[in-house]
Amino acid sequence: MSKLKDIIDRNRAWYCLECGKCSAVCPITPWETRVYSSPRLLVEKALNGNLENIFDDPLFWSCLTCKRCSELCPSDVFFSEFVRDARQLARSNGRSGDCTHGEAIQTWARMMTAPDLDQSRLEWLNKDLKISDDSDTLYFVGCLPYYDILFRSLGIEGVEIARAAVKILNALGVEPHVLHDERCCGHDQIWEGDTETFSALARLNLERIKATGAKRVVTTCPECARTLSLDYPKLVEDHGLEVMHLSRFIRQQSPDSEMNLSLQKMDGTATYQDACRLSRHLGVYEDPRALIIATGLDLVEMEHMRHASLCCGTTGWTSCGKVSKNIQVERLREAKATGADIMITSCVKCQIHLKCAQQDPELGQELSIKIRDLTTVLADRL
Amino acid sequence: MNNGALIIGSSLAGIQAAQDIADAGVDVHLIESAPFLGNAGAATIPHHLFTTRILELAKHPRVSLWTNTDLSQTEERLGGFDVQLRQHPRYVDLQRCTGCGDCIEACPVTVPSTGNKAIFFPKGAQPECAVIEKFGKAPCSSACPGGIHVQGYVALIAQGRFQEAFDLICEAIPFPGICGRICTHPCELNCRRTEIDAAVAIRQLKRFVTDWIVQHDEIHPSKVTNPQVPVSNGRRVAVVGAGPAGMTVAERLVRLGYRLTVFEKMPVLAGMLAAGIPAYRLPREVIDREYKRIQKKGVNIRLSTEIGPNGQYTLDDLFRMGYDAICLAIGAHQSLKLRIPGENLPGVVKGIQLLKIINFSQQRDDPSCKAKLHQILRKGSKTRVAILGGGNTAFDVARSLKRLGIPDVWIIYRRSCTEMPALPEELAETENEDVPIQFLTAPVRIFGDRQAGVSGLECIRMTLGTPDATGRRRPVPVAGSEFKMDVDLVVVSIGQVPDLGLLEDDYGIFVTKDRRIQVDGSTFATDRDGVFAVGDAVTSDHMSAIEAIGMGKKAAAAIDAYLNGFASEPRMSTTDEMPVACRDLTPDERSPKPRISMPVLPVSKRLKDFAEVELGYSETQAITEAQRCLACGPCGECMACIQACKAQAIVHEQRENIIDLDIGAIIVAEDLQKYSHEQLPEGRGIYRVAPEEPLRGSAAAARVLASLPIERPINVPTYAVGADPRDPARIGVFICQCGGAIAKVVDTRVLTRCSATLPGVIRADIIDQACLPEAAELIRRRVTSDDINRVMLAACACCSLDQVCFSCAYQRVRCKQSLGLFTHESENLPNLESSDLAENLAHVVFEFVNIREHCAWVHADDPKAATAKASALAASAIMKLGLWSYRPTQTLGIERSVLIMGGSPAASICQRLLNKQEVVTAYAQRPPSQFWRADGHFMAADNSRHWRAAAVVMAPVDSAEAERLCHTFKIASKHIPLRTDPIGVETHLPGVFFCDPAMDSRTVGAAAAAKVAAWLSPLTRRPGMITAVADANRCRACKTCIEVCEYGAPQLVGEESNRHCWIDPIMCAGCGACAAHCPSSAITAGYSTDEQLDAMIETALNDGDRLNEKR
Repeated sequence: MSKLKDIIDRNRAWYCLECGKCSAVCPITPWETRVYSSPRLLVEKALNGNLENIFDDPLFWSCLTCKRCSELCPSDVFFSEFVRDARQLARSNGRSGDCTHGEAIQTWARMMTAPDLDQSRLEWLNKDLKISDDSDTLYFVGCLPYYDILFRSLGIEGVEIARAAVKILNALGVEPHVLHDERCCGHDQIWEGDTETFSALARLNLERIKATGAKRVVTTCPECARTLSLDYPKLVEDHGLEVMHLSRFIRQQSPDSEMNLSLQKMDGTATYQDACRLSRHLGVYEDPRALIIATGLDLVEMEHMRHASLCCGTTGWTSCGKVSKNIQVERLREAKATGADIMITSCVKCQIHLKCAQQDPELGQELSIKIRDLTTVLADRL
Repeated sequence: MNNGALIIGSSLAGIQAAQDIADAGVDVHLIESAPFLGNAGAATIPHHLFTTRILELAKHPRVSLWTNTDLSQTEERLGGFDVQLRQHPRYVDLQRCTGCGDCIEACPVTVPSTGNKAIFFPKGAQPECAVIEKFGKAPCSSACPGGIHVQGYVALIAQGRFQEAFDLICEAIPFPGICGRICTHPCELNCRRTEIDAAVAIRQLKRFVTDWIVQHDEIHPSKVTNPQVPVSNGRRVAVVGAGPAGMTVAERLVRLGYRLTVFEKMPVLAGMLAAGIPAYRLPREVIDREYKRIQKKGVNIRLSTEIGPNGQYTLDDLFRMGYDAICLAIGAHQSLKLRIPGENLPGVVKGIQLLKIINFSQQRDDPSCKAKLHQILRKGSKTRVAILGGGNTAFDVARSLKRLGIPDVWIIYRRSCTEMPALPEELAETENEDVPIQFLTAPVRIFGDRQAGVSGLECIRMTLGTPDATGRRRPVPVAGSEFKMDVDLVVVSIGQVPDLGLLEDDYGIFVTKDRRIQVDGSTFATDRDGVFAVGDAVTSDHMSAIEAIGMGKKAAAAIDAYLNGFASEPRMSTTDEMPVACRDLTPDERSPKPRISMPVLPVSKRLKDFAEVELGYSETQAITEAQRCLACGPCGECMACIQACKAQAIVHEQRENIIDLDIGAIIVAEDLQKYSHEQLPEGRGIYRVAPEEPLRGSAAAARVLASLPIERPINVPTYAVGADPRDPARIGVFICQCGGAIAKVVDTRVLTRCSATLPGVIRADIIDQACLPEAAELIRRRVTSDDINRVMLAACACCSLDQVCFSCAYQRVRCKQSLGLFTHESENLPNLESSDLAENLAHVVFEFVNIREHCAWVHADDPKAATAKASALAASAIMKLGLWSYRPTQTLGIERSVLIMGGSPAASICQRLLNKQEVVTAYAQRPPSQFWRADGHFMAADNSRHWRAAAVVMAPVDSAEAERLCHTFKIASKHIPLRTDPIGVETHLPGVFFCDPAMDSRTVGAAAAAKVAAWLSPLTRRPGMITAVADANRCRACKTCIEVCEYGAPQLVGEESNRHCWIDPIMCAGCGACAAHCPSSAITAGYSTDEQLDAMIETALNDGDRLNEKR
């Protein structure tokens, strides 16, 4: 376990100039009313070296690791990574964030560390969707079937996204591998400091992926994409696999805007919600936008967009509350302000969180906008 | 405080009234004449609901429950009544009985009319404590001068429990075997079977068990036959005379720790028993055995040691030798004289002397006795003998002479056989042995001369006149009926007086004219300090052995009291004072069952020697005979229940208890015919309700509350409690054995070892029975001595809240009650300020785990699994306590105000009754257009008006209005329709009451008033225990909680970006639905935090390994 000093060194916290740019853009800072908290202040607390002061800071647990601050940091402090590593330290000190949903989702991940766990993971596959055991490409479904159960009442798209993904891959002439015993990628675990669970999940996943002989992994979840492509090689094993989000894969397959897909054109305007993992973490900004435009929709941007986009308000199923809600309400108001008919996101979690905020009975119409995943929007046009 | 209310009858209406009045903060006394609660109307609601209602009352700090209690009188006075209650004995301590049923199993008596045991409790009855059915003392037991629980041992014999029967007899008397043979059995004379056929052969049964013990003692050595010599208290007592009276004194005193020496003039043990009773009636080995048993207990017997001027020691010597007291039990060995001519001729002998000579020549092989006997029977077998007298001695002489081979023996008795003091069976056997008896015949003179001795006897026939001082009819001579008999030997056996030789010098002991030692009737003290007298020496020859034993017991108690400086009352059983039971016999019982006749030695065989005539019962005969017993008690006081009861809850000595109370009002909720006008007058302040109608109970409660002066606490108090429970956990673990109900399955030692190593545990103790007062005392002591702030009690209680559910039990409630859990905190506060802060348990957090039903009982056949489960549950609870965190509770000042709506007359009745209780009432005829809750109150508004009230009563005039009013509430609590309880007044919303228009408006209006009064009292609300708490920062204001709550407790407060949930602690029922549904886990349920639940589950799942280490 790294000491605080190593974590500071590794993540360049020494270089903090206390300029406060991060505080100006942090989505948490304006809404956290209990105590003033900002990334800059948290770094300062870290440099002072008192662990409890760090762990008691609400931002330490509510930080979305959205990297919004990193975009502006003149010293290139890796704030999100600093928070991630320090959360590991906190966990070893018996501290952890407040889990939502009665810790059900974290518990599922822990259950999935059992090597011979029996999951009915492929129930969502329709008979007209084709998968194959002999393919270069593997579609990594992620937690969609699980969220489907927990958040159905919010009207989210869960396994529909997975079906849409396979449908698109089939249309591209790809019959992907789909694992029947896939595990959660471990994204939430690593960002909440639970490296033990993360490693167990990652090993199980890699073992199974490698056994298929696939060379490429395609995901519909930005978090899976980030974790498999960046964290697995660094923390578990340099697997040599090509990992990418489906939007990028589609564009790779058909670099021209027409693509190999024959999409029915549609009318209307759409706005796009950049998922932090896909955008700022993986640098994918253009592929989804290009695909939206390819459907014929008019793309209108929100006030905060691309590198400056506003996150969906919660990460890792932890520290959800008034602050998260306020961020979500803010983001939904921005979406409404565009006058778009639909808000398209590439991450199921954005969809869950924003749809949850839309449940607010008081704010009613003010927040009402259709929210859909890019994958399903595309698949519908096939 | 005000005087409180008296409720008569634990009917449904009675308990409802009690609950409502007590909830409103008024003391309630609820009396029930039966031993169990719930008479009329109990059957109209499901049993489990009734049970919870009773238990709610049992735990209520304002309620006193009186079972077995009648109202004996009522006197009206200004503003109330002086009432007197009469509580009949239950014989079982309600504070101690654990309801285990061991006593019921042990009880040998089944009451014929009910089929219950004499100690019993009906299944599911409340309180779940046994009661002994005892109408009084059985006639046999009350007749026994020796104080034996006669019916008790007969019942035990009937069950084949001979050892217990024997022990019970030996507890009362030292000579069971002797009494089993020669007792005059007053018990049998009083036996109620004589009304049907013949008395139970009680004496023979006693004899049977002593014989059985002799045969079985080696197999089952009993504590009676192998007594422990008690620890000496250092004081010494001398007893003069080793007869039954003296030996009883010695045996009783040695039990109390005195050191005893018995001085006996004769060379044989047992005084008159050995000298005066022939061996065919009382075999010598029986005497030897019973005397040896007493000697084993530490009584020292010195034979052939005479006390007196002519003996080895004088009384003064004895005092000088260090005896602290002397008891004279010298018997009556000097025969009375006939006072007729010829009485001094040779050939006239005294009966008792002759018996002594015969007995001694038999048993001691004494040559001088043989020579004397030879001389008396100078014509050998040709000697013709006339025996004068009708007592047992006369018959003993006659039958002994027959055995010596003398054929011509007559008994001459001046009265008829009905007046004869000898036992009828003695008379029958004597006649069987061919001894003619001349009744109504008196001796006139004895013929003969000094040389040749007696030659004849002149007698006269008698007739019976008026009764004399003894109650027997006086014999009157019949003139001219004289006749002469030719006899060689006249035996005079007309009674004896004490031989007071030892008192010849002036010892300061007063001797009466009829040659008895005069003693004080109750202390047995003679005129000389430290000298006592007992037995025939005191009464002259009027005592049977059992009477002598009885007197010996009393004397021993008196001597003990004397030696204690009269510091204590004589240690006597008070059950002796009970009235004689005389119950009606069932027709079944009245059918005859003949007495089993005693097998005897045939006459031809018995006259050869002094072999015992009666052969004794076999086991089967004894059991059959004992089963004839009618169980008159029906409790026979066999004390088997006392032996069985581990909680020491049984009090056979309990007496009627008179309780005087100062009462403000009375509600009669039972059959009115039951009480006379004197017991219960008519008039103001006395309310009568139909027993089976709870609504009327509530209505009466409202009228009582309105009539009493207001002296009730009216504000919700602040909830700050003593020592700070936020200190780090110092956990005390207590594991109950439940007598054995838990311990025989669950290994409590392993459990203790396992618990002791868990984090935060300071100590782990095993306690025997958690529901007894001493267990609470022990916990209290440990909490104080070890500075414990959290307690885990593994027993049979499961709920850690102060609630009762349908599976709860009286003992669990009692257990928590004695730990102070139901004491209202505001009442606790003054104690906290007192000097004895540490004594108070108010600052201790309790957690209960049920290891009886949940472990020991369900896994009775698998002790390992039961222990494992108990350990897991206990460990979970300990972890929960370790994570317990102080949750400050809100203090809401609640006004005593109510908003009444609706057009029914019930509204005005309710309003009037509440106004009398100083409740601020507001009336809205039309439903308000707006309705909401804020700040712990109901708020309502109309165009022009605005209301704020702590409670709401809806009193619609018809169902249409009812619907309109209920609709008002849909605004407050969304879609949830208003539900009412079975009685129809309380709704599912706390503080909202409904007067059903279909019911009588007077009653329902009053009932609603009672409910409002109860609701406004702080006693009914204890915020903090179960209330869910919402974290404002974690709340997403999604209203999920509001959707799921049935009670309208969660509300959204705050503006815009700061909107969050607040849970109204008054409305929260503690169900936890909101906590379970909250997506951001912002709500914590009252009973347990998520963190605690996690830890509990994890601990329970991992406990197996730990347990194996500790095994």
